[in-house]
Amino acid sequence: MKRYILLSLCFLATLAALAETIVTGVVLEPDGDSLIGASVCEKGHASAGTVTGINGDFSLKVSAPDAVIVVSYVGMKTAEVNLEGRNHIEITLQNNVNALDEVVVVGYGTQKKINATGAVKTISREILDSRPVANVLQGLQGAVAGLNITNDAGGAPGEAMNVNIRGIGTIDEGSLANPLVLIDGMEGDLNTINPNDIESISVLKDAAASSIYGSRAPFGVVLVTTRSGSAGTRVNYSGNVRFQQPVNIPRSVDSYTMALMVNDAWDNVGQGARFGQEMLNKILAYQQGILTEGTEPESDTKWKEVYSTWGNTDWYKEYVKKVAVSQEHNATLSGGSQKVKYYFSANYFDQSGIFHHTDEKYSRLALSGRVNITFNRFVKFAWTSRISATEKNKPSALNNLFFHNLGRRYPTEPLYLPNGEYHHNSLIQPMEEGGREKDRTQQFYNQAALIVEPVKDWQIHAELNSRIEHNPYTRQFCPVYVTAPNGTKVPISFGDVGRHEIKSDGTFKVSPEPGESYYEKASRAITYFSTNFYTDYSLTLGGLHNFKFLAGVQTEYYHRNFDRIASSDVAISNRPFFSNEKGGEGTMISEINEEWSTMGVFGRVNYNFDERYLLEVNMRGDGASRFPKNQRWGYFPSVSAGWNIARESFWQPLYKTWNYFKLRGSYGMLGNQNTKSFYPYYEKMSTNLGSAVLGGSQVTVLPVYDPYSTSLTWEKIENFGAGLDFGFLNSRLQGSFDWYQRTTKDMVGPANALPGVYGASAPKTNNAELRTRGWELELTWTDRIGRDFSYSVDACLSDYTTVVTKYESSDNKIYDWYAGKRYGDIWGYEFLGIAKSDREMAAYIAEHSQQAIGDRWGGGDIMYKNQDADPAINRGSETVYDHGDLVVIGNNTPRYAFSFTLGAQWKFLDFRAYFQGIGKRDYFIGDNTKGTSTFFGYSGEPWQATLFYDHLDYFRFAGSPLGANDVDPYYGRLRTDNNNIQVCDRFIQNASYLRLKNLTVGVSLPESARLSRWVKKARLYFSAENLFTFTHLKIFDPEALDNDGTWGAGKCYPQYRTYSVGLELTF
Amino acid sequence: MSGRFLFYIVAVSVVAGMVISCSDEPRNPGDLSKKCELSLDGPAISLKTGQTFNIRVARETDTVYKYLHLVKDTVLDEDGMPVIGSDGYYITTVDSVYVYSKIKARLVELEPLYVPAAADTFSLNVNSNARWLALTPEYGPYDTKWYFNITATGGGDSRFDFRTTRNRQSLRVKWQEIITSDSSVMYRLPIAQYGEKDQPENF
Repeated sequence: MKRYILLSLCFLATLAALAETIVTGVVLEPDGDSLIGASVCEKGHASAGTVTGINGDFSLKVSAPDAVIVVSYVGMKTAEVNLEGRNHIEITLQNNVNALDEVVVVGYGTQKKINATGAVKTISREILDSRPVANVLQGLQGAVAGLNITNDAGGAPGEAMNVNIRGIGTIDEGSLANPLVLIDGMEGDLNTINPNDIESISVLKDAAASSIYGSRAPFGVVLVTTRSGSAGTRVNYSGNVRFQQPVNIPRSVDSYTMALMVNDAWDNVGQGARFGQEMLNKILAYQQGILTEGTEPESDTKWKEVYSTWGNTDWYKEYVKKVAVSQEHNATLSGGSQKVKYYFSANYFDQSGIFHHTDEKYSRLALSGRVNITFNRFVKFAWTSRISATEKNKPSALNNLFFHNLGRRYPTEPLYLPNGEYHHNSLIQPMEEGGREKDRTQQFYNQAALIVEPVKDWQIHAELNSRIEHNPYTRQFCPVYVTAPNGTKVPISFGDVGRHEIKSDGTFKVSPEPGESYYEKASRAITYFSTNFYTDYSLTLGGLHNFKFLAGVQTEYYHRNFDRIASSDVAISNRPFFSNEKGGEGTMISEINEEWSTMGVFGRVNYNFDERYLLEVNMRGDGASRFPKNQRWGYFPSVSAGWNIARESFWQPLYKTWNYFKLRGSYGMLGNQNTKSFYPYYEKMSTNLGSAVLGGSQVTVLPVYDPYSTSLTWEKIENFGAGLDFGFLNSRLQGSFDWYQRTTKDMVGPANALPGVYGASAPKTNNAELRTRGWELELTWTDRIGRDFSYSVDACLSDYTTVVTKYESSDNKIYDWYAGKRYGDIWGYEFLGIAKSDREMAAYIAEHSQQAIGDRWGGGDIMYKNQDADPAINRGSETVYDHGDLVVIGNNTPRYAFSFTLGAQWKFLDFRAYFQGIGKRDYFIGDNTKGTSTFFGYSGEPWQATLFYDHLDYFRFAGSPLGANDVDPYYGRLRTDNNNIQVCDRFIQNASYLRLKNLTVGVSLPESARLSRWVKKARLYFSAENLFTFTHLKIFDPEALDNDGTWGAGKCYPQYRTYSVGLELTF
Repeated sequence: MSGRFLFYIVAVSVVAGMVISCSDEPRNPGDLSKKCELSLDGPAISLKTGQTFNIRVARETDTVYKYLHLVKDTVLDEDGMPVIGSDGYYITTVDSVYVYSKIKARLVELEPLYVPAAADTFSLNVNSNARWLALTPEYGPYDTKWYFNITATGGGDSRFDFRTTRNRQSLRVKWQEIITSDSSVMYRLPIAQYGEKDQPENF
C-alpha cells in the first residue's frame, strides 16, 4: 500500500513539474535602457522570484501559462503583467512619481509635497514602531530637522521633555513659545497619547505653514493624525518587556579616600583636617573588616553621624538598581465596511523607577475609539473619543532634594546602625515609610466631525472638540523614627529644614519638621472646548491653473480651576483625611480659577500653474481675551511661493538624474497671545498677613496692587524663510534645505525702570525683540541590492542661534537680558593655569590680585586671566559696560542637532539603527558665579561635598597619601571655598554627544510559513535604547544635566539604557 | 550574500559600539611613587636691613622614624584569671614598645644660623615639590617666646619667614624643623640669636 502511495505522489509531483512554465523576459527603464536588479516574481508566489541580470534579463518558473508577473524596483512603479500564454515578455517600468506625489498634512487639509511652499515635514508612524519609548516625544527626538526635543532633566518615569520648533521664541519673561500640538485638529498632549494610535505626524515650521492656526501657533505646529479603520477586520496585539539599566551613575570614592580628600579641602583653606589619624585608622579598620560597626552612640539619644562615623557605604550603589523592568501592551481592533469603519485601541504602559527603597511607578492607560460613517456621497461623519489616565506614584521624599542629598551623603556613614536599623541620615526610612506623592492625570477627549460635500471638490467641515481634564494630586509626609541608643524613638529629618510656603503659582513648598505629619490634596480641573468650521474648494481652469480656496472660523474656550489644601492635622496616617475637630492645624489653602478664549477667522488661497509655479496666501484675524478690549484683535498675513524647476522644459536633459528640484520662499507675520498670565493687563492684589494682630491672630491685608500695563498687546512673530527641495536618481536620493529668520517683535519685557521712590517694579510691556536665525538639512537615500535586500539612510542636521536685539535693561547686568545678548551666552573668567607652587602664585597675585575672589592663594590654585586695565582680577559691576575680567567663554545653546537612521531589510529580517546627537554645546555645571559640588567635589561650603572618582584629578603635591598630581591636573586643589570653582573656560564642558538612540532587529513571519494563513503579520523584535553614547562630558550624562535648578546642576534622575523584547501580531 | 551583509552590519555595529562606548573608568591619577623633595635655599635675608646670613648643611642622615606604642595587658594568676588589685580593679601592666618605620626618611641638620640681637624678620627660600610644614617650636610654661615662624606651611617652592624679638641678654637658640607632609624629609635649622651682651662687634 505504501508503495502505491509513493508512486502516486511521484506521479503527481511529475505532473506538477510539467505544469510549470518557464518564462523569460527583459525589464527596461523608461528610456529603454536595461534595468539591472529589478525584482521579478509570480503574483502570490513572492518567495520564488528572481532578479534581472546585467542586461535586464530574467528567467522564471511560473505555475500557469496565464500567470501574472510582478516586477518591482525602488523608485519605479511596480508593474503587473499577465502572461496570457507568452513565454517571453518585455516590460518597461515607469518612474515612480509617488515619491513626488507624497502628501503632506497641512493646516486644515493635505497638500501634495511637490506643491507645498511652506516648511513642512510629515513623517509616518514607522519612526515610533518597535521603540521602547515612554512617550511620543522621545520617539520624535531627532526625527525632524528643526524640531528640537531636548532633555536635561534625566529619565524619571513620566518625565516630560522640552520641545521647540526652530529654536527659542521668547525670553520667557511674560510669554511662552511652545509649539502648538494638535491631535486630529484639537489641542492635545504628546505625553499622554498612545504612540500606537498615531498614523502620521506633520511638523509645520514656518509662518507660511502654521499661520492658518493663527495666534496659538506662532512658533510652529505639530499635527498628529491618528489611525482610522479600514475595510476588513483586523485584530492586532503588540507588546514588549523592557529592562532598564541606569547609565552614567557617578562613582563615589570609598570612605578612606573621601576622608583624605575632605582633609585636603579643609587643610587647603587653613581649617585643619576633619578626620584625625585615629578616625582614619578606624575607617581603614572598618574597610578591612576589623571593625563591624560604622558608628556608635554619641549620646543616649543620638547616634554619631557624618565626620564622626567610619563606615564605607556607596550610596549610589545602595540606591540605584541594576535593572528595572517595564512593560507595554497594546491591542487594536479595526475594520468595517464601505459605509462604516471603526478603530478601537487600548494601551497600557507601566514603568518602574530605578531606585531601591522607593517602589516608584508610572503608568498610563489609554483607550481610544474612532468611527467613520459615510452616509452617502455627500455626507460623512466621524466620532473620536480618547481616554488617557496616567499616574506617578512615588515617595514624597523622592524629590530634587533627594538627588542633592544622595550626592553629598558621606560614605563614612554606615548603612546600618548597631541596632540593625537604617542609619537616620540614609533617607531610607522617609523613602519607605515617609508617605507617598501621587500625581494623576485623567483626560477625556471627544471629537465630532461632519463633512458635507454638496458638489465635487467643495467640502464643508464642522468640527466640535472637547477635552475634560482632571488632575488629582496628593502628597503626604508621615513621621518616621529611628531608635536612639537608649531605646527611645527619635523623629528623623527628611533632609532639609522645615518650611511651609505657598508659592505664587498656588503650589506649596514644604519640607516637614522631623516628626511632623503633613497631608496635601490638590485638584485641577480643565475644560477645553473648540470649534472649527471651514470650507474648501478646489478648482482647475484650463487644465493648468489650479486653485484651492479655504475659509473658516475657529473658537476656543479654556477654563482651569486649581484647588489645593494642606494641613499638619492629619487624622489617620494610613488613610489620611483632614480633621474637622481642630479646624485644621497648620492649614494652607490656595485656589486658582481662570479662563481664556479666542476667536479666529482665516482664509487661504493656493494657486499653482501646471505644478510649476506655486503661490499660497494666508490671512488670519485673531481675537484673544488676554488683551484689553481695544487691542484684542490682530491680523496676521503670510505669503509663500515656489518654483518647481524640474518641471520646466529646459530641465529635461537633467531630469533623468535630477528629477525634482523646487525653490521656495515665505514671509509671514503671526501674533503670539500665549502670555504666561491669563490676565496680564488686570490689576492684581495679593493678600498677605499684616503686622497688626486682632483677636489674637494676624490680620489679612490687601496691599496696593503692583503697577500694570494697559497697553500690553500681541507679540508679533515675523518669519522669513527660503528653501529648496530636491530629488535625484528617481528620488532615491531626496532632500531639502531651509534657511530662516524669525524675529519676535514687541516681545514682552520690562518697561523702563521706575524711580526707587515709586516703591514698585515696572510692569511688563511690549518693548523687546528677539531674533533667531537657523538652517535645516534633510537627506534620504533609499535603494535595493538584489531582490531581497533593501536599505535606507536618513539624515537630519539643523542649527540656530538666537540674539536679543532689543531690551530695556535697567542695569545691563550680564547675567540678565540686555540688547545684543546671544541666547545661552556664558560669562566667566579665562583660565591661565594652575600655579605649581606658592612662589608662582605669589608672583602672579603680586601683579594681579585675586582678592575679589578669595584669599589664601597658593600652589595648586587657579590663576585667572586679567582682561581689563585694572590689574586686579574681579567681576567689575557685572554689567555690559563694566564686566571686569569676565568675558563670554561659551554658549549653552545646543547647536548642530543631528540624527541619522540606517535601515535595512533582508527577506524576513529587518534592522534599524537610529543615531541622534548634538554637535556643539558648551555647558558649565553650576550657577553664574561658581560650580556645583557634583562637578567640583566641593561647592563653596564646607558641608557641600560630593566626592567622586573623577574629582581625584585635582592638584596634589608629592607626598600626598593619594599620590602626587602636580603635572597636569584637571581641577585646582580641593578647597571648601570658591577660589577654584569659578566659572571659567577651563571647566566649560563639551556637552556635545552622539548617542545610538535605538537599535532594532526584527524577525517577521515569512509569507511562506504555514502560520501565515491565520496570522497576517507576526514579528518578534529586540530593541535597545540609548545603547551607547560618545561624549566628552565629565561625570554627567548629556541628557541628565539639570533639573529645575533648585539644587544645582547634575542633581537629577539618571538616564537609562533600555533593552526590550517585543512581539507584534496581526490577525 | 545580502543576509550575511546585514548580519555583519548588525554585529559590527553592536560590538564596535559597545567596545568604543565603554566609558573610561575614572581612576586616581595620583603618582604614589613620586618622592618628596625639600631643600632650604639660603641665604636668610633680613627684611629689615637686607643683611644676608648663609646657611650650611652640617650633616645629612638617612634614618627611619621610631614610633612608641604602649602595650597594655592584664595580669593573670596561675589559673589564668585576672588579678584584682587592692583598689578593686584589675591589675594591668603597661610596656613601651618602639617600632621602627620601614620608610626611610632623610634628616638634614643645618649649622646654626646666627642672627643679630635686634628684633628682625628673616626670609629664606624653600624649594620643594611637596606640601611642607614648619613646626612651631615648643616653649616651656615660663619661657620667653622670642622666635616665631611666620610661615607655618607651604606648597612647593615657597618662602619661609620667621621673626625674632630683641635679645637684651646673651645667645639663645631655637630649633626650627621643616618637614614634608609625608615626613620623608626633615630640615633642622638651629636659629641662634646673639644677645646684646655677647653679639660680636662686626656682626
